[in-house]
Amino acid sequence: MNNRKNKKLKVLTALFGVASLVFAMLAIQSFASLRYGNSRDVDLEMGSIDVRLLENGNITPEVSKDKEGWLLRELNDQAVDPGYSYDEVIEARNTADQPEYVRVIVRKYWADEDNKRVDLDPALIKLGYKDADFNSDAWIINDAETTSEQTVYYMKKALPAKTDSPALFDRISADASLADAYTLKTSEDGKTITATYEYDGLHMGLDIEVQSIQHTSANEAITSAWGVTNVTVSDGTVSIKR
Amino acid sequence: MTVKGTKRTKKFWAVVCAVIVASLMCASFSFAYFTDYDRASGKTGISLAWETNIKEEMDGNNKSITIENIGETDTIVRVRIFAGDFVTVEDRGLEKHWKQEGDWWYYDRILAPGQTTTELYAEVKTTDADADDFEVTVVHESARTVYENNKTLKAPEDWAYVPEL
Repeated sequence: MNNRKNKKLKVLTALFGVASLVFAMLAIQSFASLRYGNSRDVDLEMGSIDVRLLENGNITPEVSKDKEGWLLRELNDQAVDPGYSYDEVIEARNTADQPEYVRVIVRKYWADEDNKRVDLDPALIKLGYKDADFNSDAWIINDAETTSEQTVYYMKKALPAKTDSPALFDRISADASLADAYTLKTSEDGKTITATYEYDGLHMGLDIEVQSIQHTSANEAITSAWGVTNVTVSDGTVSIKR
Repeated sequence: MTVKGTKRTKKFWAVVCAVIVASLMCASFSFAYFTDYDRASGKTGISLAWETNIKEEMDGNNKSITIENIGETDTIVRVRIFAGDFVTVEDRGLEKHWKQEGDWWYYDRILAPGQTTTELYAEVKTTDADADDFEVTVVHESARTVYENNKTLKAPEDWAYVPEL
């Protein structure tokens, strides 16, 4: 009797082992890509994906995933004129050996020396591309993820291996209306009028995160890993349900 | 003893199965979808304040006027001279940069930090006897450079002219 039970247990365990193996293979296969060579061999290739951020053609240093103080450093030596546009070309680079889908999360903020100033309007920090707010030929905004604090842009096509994306932005400026936010004070002798600007001495800040995801099983990956349900990939094109 | 052994065996395999299931669940979440990210941040200072200083040097009854940018940002400047009909104003710079629009004289260059305008000369045309009876008052205004786009300066309120870029 006990032998029969033990046998059943062994059979169940064996079946479970086989099922587990199949399950694991399926999980791995969701990332594996099939590559067809000139010969008729079929290789099952495993690999990783990798994405990097570029500002004005410069790639981020590899010191860590989060680089504070790296953006806008080229502007630190000059007085920023309100309304004047400065170069700020933002791109993504696929440094891996296979395509990937890419999205970029952009956060703008005002800050004093120590802290972010959430009472001031981040919309007065303007990013743009040519005559538009961004490069809409290659990128699309997901309004569902966009708030007053951040905007999320998806690249419309998969970013090929070892390739730079089309620029998302090419310029940054502080809105000219900053110069209109002031109070006037007249000196006691009445000879001098001094303007005090609300935004004077503050810092305009930028926080940009580029994220990538595997190109195979992209729809499942986008839903599961990025947690968005209104972004889909069809025939290699990303579309967003409004 | 045999019953005990069977129970222990069952428990053992149950634990093993649980561990395997848990591992596979974790593995499935870790390996199912591959992602990567790269993040950078930074900030740059905004300086909106400016500071200019007018220099009025007397030359007899006449005045030589220049304006210096003593701040840290670009500015535009203009000058108005109050003296009735007794005064004529002349741009005495080697290069002519003062431009009259209405009652004001506008400097046609952006004044960078540390720069000084060319000379604007107010010449009093009256007799010495009359000279004690009036005063030449010079008012200067300056403004922070603000751009409408990269090719045009935005004119401050009431300004009839801004330098061309």
